[in-house]
Amino acid sequence: MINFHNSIIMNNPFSLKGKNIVITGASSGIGRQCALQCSEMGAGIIAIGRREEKLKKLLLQLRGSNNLIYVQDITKYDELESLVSDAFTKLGPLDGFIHSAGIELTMPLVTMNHRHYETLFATDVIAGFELARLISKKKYVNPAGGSIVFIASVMGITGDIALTAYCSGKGALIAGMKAMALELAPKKIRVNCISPAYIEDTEVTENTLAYLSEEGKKERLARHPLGYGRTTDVATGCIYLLSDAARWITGTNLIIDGGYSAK
Amino acid sequence: MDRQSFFEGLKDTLELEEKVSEETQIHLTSLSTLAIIAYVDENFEKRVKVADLKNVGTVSDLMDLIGRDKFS
Repeated sequence: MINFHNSIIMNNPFSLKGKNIVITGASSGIGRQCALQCSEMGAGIIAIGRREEKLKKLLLQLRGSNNLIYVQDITKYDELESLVSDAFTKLGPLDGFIHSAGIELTMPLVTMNHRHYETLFATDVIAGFELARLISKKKYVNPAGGSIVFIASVMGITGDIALTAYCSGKGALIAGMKAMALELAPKKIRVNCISPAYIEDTEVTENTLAYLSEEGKKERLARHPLGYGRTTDVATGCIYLLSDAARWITGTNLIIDGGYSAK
Repeated sequence: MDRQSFFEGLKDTLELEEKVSEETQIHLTSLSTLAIIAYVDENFEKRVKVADLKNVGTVSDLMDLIGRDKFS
């Protein structure tokens, strides 16, 4: 027992020391928090976003010098491989990927058209799958294995009015993750999702709540037995899934929702 | 946007039975509120808030909210 305890302290299973982690949506919200916390756990961070000033500010807050920022529209799929290749050249093999970039679209079905789905799916789903494909390539990924985390949502398994595009995009991540987990297991690459409910102080939550009346906002909060979540709740889950502590976890949708989906 | 197209689009968006005119009453539900916000955003690139719609009871009120100068 004493040997086991000493072993845990000396070999922190949640450590990300020496791991290079790619994170989309790193300019703000969950992606930014993941970058900060993964960095605290020893990871080298490859932060991708659209807002240069925010990424530069993030870079100054990351530990160590094994960090990179890329100002990139991830829906320009043809440009993604050169980004991944550049990161590999500068930092070495890639160990993990968090796809946190995503857009929100609160629109009743009657107001939707195919362009809305195409725009949302481009960022929320296809860009994530494309980056996962590239990062998992033998020439870029750590031969010892890796871990991919898609930030989905409880909306991918429940549903809500005026969120057809958003719910189906998140549902696509959850379904695609399972297929990917099976396909990449031989390469020791694990693939999982995290599904949060409403996270305070994120653009997605602010945009969705902006459409509600005061009564609607109270009702939305009441759906969460433990109240709204924080970005750190999701980042901590990512650390777990990226770390060796989750060695035997793949094909899972980790729900971190304050009890939202328990009702 | 011309007024006739606006009326027809609104009729379609709110799935109203009768022809729409400025006098048409707008009954706001949570879904119709979102539909109007989306319709205005798509056609006028103007983001109205839920609170802005509290005083909208007719199509004429909605046109005032959007801005009469936006209609031909």
